[in-house]
Amino acid sequence: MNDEKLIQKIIEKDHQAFKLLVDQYQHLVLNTCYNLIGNRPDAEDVAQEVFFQVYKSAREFRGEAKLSTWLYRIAVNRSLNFIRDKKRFGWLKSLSSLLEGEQQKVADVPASNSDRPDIALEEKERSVIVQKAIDSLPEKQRAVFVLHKYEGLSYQEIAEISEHSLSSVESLIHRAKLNLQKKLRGYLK
Amino acid sequence: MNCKKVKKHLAGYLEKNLTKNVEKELENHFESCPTCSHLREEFSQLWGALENRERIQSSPYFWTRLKQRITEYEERRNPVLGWLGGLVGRVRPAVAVAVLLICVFLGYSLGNFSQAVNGQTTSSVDERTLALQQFFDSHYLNPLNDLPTGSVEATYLEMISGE
Repeated sequence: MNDEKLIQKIIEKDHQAFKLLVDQYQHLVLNTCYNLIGNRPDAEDVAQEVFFQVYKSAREFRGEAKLSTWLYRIAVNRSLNFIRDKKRFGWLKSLSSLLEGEQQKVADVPASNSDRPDIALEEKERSVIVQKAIDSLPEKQRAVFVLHKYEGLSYQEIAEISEHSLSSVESLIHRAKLNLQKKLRGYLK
Repeated sequence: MNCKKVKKHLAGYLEKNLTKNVEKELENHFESCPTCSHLREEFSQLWGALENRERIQSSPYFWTRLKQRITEYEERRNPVLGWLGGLVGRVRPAVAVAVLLICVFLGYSLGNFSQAVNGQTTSSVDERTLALQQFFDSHYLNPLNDLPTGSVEATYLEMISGE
């Protein structure tokens, strides 16, 4: 079934067609959210929001771009909104955690593949450092860097998703790389 | 090339974005400077972690959660349909029991009805025979019982007995 037929069926509230779309694109949406947010449970919640929005506003898909482009755009916008809200209301959450005596959550990184605990620990530390460096990037740089580096998208595709010009995307990626180098050099002993 | 410049070019070196000359200068420096050589190893690992991030899998309940949410959303959008849907779901067992009871009652009633009809027919035949017998007895007409069935006399007798 092509993208337009799939969307048409979703507009008609066909749950089977919607499941088909979720099965096909959940990996893409979830990993985009995860690479931007850096936390698995939050990324999964935001991915749910993305698909819920797709279901509610399927009519807004005009078929001018690919379905994946539309999904990437929603995933990036939702993730950046989530990060902004988290920053804005972070103090409130910290306060409630403090009052409830909740322990500080350790950065959520995928388990290491190594059998040796020392190597696994080092890999985990490196993942945390990399995530912190990505988190410190300005949001536009972070979005284009993630789409380019982890989703393997071309500058042209990123320009369509982010609705920036091609030259802006090139510039943002270049600056993101320079910033990351700088941040990561700062972690070297 | 000094150590400060080497640090600046590390990422470019790892991404192979440097000119041949700068690359050569860096390699010469690494050979002579153990600190920068160690730094290159460390940075290479960090850069590697940045390059090769693992992709995550969604939880097995991803679709179940989403479906629950869209069902609730549709119920909120169509409250009457949602309420009816919920009601049908809730009263379905009660409706099934009620239909069963009605069927049992109808079956029982139909059974009684056919018995009553049969009983009524039998009793009316008995009453007729008894009345005829009483008529014959009261008018001393018993000898006429022996009249051949279907004869004019027997038919007349039946007519005047009024039965």
